[in-house]
Amino acid sequence: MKFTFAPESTPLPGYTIKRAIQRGGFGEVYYALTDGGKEVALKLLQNNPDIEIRGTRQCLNLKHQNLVTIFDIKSDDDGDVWVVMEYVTGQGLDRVIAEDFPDGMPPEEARWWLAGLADGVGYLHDRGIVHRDLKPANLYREGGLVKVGDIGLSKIITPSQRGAQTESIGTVYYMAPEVSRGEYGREVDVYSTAVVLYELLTGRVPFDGETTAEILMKHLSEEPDLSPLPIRFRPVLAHALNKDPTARTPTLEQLLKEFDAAETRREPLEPPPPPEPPVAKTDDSTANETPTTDDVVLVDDDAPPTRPKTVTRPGRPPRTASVPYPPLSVRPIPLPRRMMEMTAAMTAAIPFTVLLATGIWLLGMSHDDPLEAVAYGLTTLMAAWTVLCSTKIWEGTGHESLHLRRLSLLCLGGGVGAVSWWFHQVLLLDLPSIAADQGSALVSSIGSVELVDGSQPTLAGYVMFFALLFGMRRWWWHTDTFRPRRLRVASLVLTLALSCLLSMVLGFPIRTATSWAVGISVVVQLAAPWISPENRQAYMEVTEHG
Amino acid sequence: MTGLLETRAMSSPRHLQDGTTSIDEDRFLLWIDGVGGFLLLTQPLVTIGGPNGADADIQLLASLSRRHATVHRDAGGYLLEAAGPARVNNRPVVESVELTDGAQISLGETVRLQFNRPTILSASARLSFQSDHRPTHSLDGVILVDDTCLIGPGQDCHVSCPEWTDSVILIHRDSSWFVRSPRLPLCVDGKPIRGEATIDDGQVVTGEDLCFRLEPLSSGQSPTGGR
Repeated sequence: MKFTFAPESTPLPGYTIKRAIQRGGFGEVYYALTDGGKEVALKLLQNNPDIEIRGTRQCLNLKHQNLVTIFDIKSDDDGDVWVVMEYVTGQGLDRVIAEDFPDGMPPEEARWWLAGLADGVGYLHDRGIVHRDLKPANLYREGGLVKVGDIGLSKIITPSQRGAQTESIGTVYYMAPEVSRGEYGREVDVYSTAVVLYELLTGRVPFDGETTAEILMKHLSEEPDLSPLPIRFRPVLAHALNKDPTARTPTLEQLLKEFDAAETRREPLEPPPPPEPPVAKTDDSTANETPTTDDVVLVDDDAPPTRPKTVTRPGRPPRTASVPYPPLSVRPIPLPRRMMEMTAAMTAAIPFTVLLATGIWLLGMSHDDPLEAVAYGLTTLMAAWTVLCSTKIWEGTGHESLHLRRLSLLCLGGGVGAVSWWFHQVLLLDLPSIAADQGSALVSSIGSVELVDGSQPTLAGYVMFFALLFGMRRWWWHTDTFRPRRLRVASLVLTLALSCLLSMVLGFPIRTATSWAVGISVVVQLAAPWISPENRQAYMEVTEHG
Repeated sequence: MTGLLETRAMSSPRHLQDGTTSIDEDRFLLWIDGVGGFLLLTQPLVTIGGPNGADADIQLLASLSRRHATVHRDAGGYLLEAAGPARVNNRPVVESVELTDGAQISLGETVRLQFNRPTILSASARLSFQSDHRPTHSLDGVILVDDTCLIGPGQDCHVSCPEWTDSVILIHRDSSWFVRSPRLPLCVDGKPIRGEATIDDGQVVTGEDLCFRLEPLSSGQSPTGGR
């Protein structure tokens, strides 16, 4: 690397150059000593001196611990302009990444850099100045502080000057898309910081290419690949790397806040083990369905007392530990989207029900008469629709109203039971004889109302069975778009267990009871839309933006 | 001519600024463009101490006693003798301990140095600063020179210059410094050299992609404190 001035040159009176430090985009930088022995960095402005001198003069008297101090601007005998700056001993972040963290650094380390950068550049923004050239080579670690250098490129933001600067300056890897249109709002710095943050966490930049033009084009048109990032930081980076400056994270302070929020949402070190579904215990069979996700917000209202004891089971990672959007997560879902998902799910429920009913009839499982299969199908479909309608309306509204949900489902279940009873009356169908299946009911009447009439359940029996089947399960777990898996066997098994218990208690024919319960659970789960964890962020963005 | 810097203002060496200072015969500063500044010590016994008093060879701005530790070079290698609290590779130093390549030296509460002997071909060694304690000026390392100091891109160099294409050797012989390079064409103060050339008077050494200067340290203007 060749430099204009050799060691021991004195282009400026009072300063002796000891060695060259580097050549930047704007000129050469030297390490020099004053006659008194103060060490300084001397920057010789070569390529765009007018722009830089203007910017540097604005920053000449700014003081902040995270900014490299500018001492003075001087001219030499040849008329060349020199900027006298604080000499920073520490390593540049570009070298820190290359030498110590080629595959990305731990989030705590990255946060340290982000916080110092946000503090220093936030101070510039507060004074109306945009840095415009944030990149790892301009960031240093010095005595436990982040130092932001090269603020000579900084530019005054005023409404009239926005867009006035048409030259493209800065390193393209870190350049916001609107810079190519000559726009230099403070959002430019947020974007560059987001690129730096991406590089800190992964060791590489989001947009790379063979040529400057290729990289610029990617900034303008290509969505960043967020998959190398830890899942919890993807929404943060997606927000800060937004191509539209008005939709981007507005300030660096906000970016730091979002980063911290994502970091605190991280999974605990010892997540609770996934629960085993104890089929026999069905006083509230739903309680053991507590999700394995990390977030305590998810824990159902009635879950904590029966939550399985936390026993660390090494070697078994949480199945959904890092999912950022668990079921029951509160999220705004616009009404049209809600209705669309609901109708789609209800439509999808029809073929699934038909398949199931046909399968059961063909297999000859307790339904010898085709009409029985029809009645089975109708009841199942009606029940599935009821579940889908109600739970899809509730989705995303949080978990404050879970008791209300149960009560509503209890009532709706009663209605489904009544209509099912009516089907069977109209079609002149009898359920399999109770006496043939099982022993007598534990509860054969409620007050003076009989639940069983001879070998057949009465209207009250139907109503009680469906009401309890609906009211005692958390059906919203079956249908939530963000449920752990599309078809969750644990949910199915618990529903089956509940139906067994109900049929024993109420004297409902067990085979009918279980086939309905299984049918409803399967159809509802298969019909309800499901988004895989890795696509939830994208789904959220789509729903949020219409 | 290739390899020459287009130097606009190469002034004469200024290391003798006033008549009252005297040249230190075993301490030198090596300034390398794009790389850093290094203190070269040629004596076999080097003292490390704090800023109170002025008799340590490496005087750090750190909470150390005046002569906190001493590094000896002899035929067998290097020994560290501690007068104050010191640890080597996390073991407390009782009287003295042998320094091996990569040894981590802790002095007092906070100062951390790393000792390296990059090549077995030379008895010279390097002390690099691990904590942010430095002499009064920001140096990048100290080279304990036996007779040669290797500067270049390789791992076996005493001063690492990753962007250089080949190595340069500084030779200390009979109280004089010489420079040569096996393959790189070099100039001293702009004049091409063949083989070895002396650089005792602070001449600037240039090559196609390199430039450095070895500066004799005078006691009065020492960036390292001074004795």
